Amino acid sequence: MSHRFAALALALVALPALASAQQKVDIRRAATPTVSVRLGGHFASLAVTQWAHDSIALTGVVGPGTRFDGGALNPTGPVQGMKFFVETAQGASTAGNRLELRVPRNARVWVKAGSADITVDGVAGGLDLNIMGGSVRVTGKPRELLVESMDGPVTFTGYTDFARLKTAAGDITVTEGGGIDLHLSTVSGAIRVAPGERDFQRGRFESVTGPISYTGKLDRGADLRFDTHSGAVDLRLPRPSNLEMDALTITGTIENAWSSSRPIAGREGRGMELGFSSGSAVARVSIRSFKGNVRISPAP
Amino acid sequence: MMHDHPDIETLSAYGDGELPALARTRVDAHVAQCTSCRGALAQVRALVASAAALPPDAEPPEAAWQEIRARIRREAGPRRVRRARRAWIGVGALAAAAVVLVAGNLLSRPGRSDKHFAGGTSAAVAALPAGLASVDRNYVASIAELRGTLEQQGRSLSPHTVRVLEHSLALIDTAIAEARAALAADPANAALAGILSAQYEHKLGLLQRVTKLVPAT
Repeated sequence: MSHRFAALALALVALPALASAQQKVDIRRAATPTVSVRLGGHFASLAVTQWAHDSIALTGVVGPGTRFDGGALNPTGPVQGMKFFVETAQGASTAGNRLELRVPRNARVWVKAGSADITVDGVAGGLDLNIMGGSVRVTGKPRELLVESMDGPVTFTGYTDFARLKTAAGDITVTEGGGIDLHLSTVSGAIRVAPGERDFQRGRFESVTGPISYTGKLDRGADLRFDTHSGAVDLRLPRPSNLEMDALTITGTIENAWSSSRPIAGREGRGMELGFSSGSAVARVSIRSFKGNVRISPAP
Repeated sequence: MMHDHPDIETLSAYGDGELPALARTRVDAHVAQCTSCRGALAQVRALVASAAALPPDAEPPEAAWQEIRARIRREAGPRRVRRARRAWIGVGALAAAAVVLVAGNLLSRPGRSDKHFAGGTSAAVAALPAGLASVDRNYVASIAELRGTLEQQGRSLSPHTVRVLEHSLALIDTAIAEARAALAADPANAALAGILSAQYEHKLGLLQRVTKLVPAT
């Protein structure tokens, strides 16, 4: 790996140190179709879009007191990897640091920012997006989607093979979504899931206090798990659906308006349990909660 | 036939004969054709067997927790370079291991159905049966190590982030206390053990997430 770091040292673009005034960013390089781009630091917004060129373009502005640094990992030929860093001086505002990144469709993008609004549209490679605050909004069909946030909301619209979306207080919303293996996790945010034309093969949705809602169809062979401590679970499923339901809340209630099956009292008479199969039971739904209330009803 | 690999919890339930018939059939078909899942199943069965063979008050295998703690240190360090996907798999695996250990200890203990349920409001630390308490202590030790790492990095966190973190930790701690109280009163309740483990997983995951998000200094 040492030759790679040597190449990096040679290839990094030396940009002005601390800017005393707003400066434009305009970096363009030919790139491989699967170029890997890493961008970290302090910026207020980042818009990532794919385009039909084998090149990348990073444009935008950074404000006074900001140092922008980085460049290509290989000095010659189409860029295989690029790395950028935005650093603000102590006390300087990041509000003026606004960037746009255009990449080949199958590029891989990694972002780590303090508080930033990040949008990604149409990128089909892997995405790894990490923020403290701000927001993340992803649209498209990334092969792999990893998002971690503290209190910033996360929204995904599209399809992915593999997704891990995790927040502390931020809401997680998946609309018109689908995927093979999805895991959404929050402490107190709300999880809202609405599958699209292609829905989920395997989904795990979990919170501590945040409510979870799922509205939409179930894929054949789907395996969905909902886990909360006190957050309510609200499932709205189309009828008829072929499913096997297994729900349990230790001290909460279960309301089933979807089928004629009635919940029964739980262990030692506390809480409720509900189990039923419908049709050929090709989808499996499991719900576990400590004191959250569970409601299962027909989709509108 | 199942197209995806069953997760560790499913394999564990399968190994214990707890899966519903349809799911069992799917895993049957998958395991018959998947070498890696057969290996994972063998490991799960071995772990359950070793946990179940423990005397009720015995400590869980320390080696397992040493590995877990070492993994957390590797993956949550301030200069962590491993891929995030692996990190989440690591947390999931350790939580799954904990579920298996808790379940193993539960299975090795006689039921205590005569106890009254403590309810869901107590935030006080409840005394767990010795077998569960040892698992609990190991979780707490792992969490303490992560908190220590975080405190070293804490100067890099904004006041707002600290507030969000502390609020989230308080919510999880309340959930842990409630699940512990309930489990102390009903120690044979495997669902409660799973719920308690899930809260620990939340706490480990949150601390790991913050250590990962803290800017390198």
